[in-house]
Amino acid sequence: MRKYNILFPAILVFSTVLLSFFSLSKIASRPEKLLIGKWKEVEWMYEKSDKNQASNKIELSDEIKNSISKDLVIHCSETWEFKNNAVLVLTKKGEKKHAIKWKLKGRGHILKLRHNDSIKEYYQIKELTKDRLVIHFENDIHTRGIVRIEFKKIK
Amino acid sequence: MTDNMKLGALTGFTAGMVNVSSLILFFSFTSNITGHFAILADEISKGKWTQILVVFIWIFLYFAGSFLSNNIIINAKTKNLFWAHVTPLLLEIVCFLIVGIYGNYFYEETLVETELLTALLLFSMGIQNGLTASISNFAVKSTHLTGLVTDLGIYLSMLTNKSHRKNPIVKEKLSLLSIIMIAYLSGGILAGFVSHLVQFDVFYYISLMMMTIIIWDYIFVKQHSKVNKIQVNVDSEFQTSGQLSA
Repeated sequence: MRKYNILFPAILVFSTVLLSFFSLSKIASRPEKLLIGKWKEVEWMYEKSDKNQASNKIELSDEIKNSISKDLVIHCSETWEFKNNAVLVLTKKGEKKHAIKWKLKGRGHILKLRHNDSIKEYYQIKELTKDRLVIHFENDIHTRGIVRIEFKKIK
Repeated sequence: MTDNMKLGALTGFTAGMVNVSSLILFFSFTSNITGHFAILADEISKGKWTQILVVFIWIFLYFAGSFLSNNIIINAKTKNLFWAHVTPLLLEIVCFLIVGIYGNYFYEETLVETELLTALLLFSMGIQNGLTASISNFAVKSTHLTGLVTDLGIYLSMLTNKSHRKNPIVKEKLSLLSIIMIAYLSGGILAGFVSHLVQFDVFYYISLMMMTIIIWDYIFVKQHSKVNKIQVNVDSEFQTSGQLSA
């Protein structure tokens, strides 16, 4: 009887896995490819919070929105432009542009934003299609809860 | 401390370190796959084919690690017990070193790189779990705690019954489960502190710990083969003297 050899099936499995990963990164609609482009903020709201238990979703006023985001790198932004070279340009009418670095983590469900190599922030991507982006982050400044930002692709 | 306890403590500690390090560096769990099954189901329901394939490959690699580990053990243990145990551990160390070296010198934080390194760590954890389960006769599974906490609940509830309270098997099992849980948690806490500071270097430290397991295994196998040799000598002398007197 022929001697059983594990080497061949092992090499076969690894080549298949590696090939799948690389072909996947070339052909499929990968999250990082979907993200590239210009996105406009549509709304900010509390997805879940301790306040107002009757309704989970509470739309945030500009005042609360500014107060929540004042210490975040995404402060003063209405338009987010994700560029190919891992740069994110944040713009707001009447204010100067702000460029930071972006990366995707996990299986593409975590958005990492880095400013000046020192400040790092993480946002959870809840939905990403070719024309819609929804991100979440935890907050406890006004109310303990999850803040949801929805975007619409404009370019 | 029994051999299973030592094995459970060492492997549980490293599994905790790997899991927390991968969570900090890649935002993915790598020592357990229950969560990945939930994610897979969720992605299937959303029809996200890219993510489905990525998570499926991760789960498959954990399975492949366990398969390969046990395959090596059952095919090699009759020839050389030490190498049968050490080969899966060496494979695991190679995986950790690849993650450490790649992470330190080449990692550009792209999503494909993150997914591949996560896949490699899941493969290594599959190897480790397959190895510990196989050599401990399924008593030790150190990379995930769902089954362990369930067993702990069962064995602790047994202590409420007087007849089970004196059962040494129950006591030993409780100690084993507690040791694995504490070791896993300690490894995780240490990685939580260390990974932020040393980043990918943490995988070099984990490799060093795995080397400790290899050295311990070497001593264990050497001791056992010595005991077996003495036993064989005693048996053969006994047989010879029996034949002479007959």
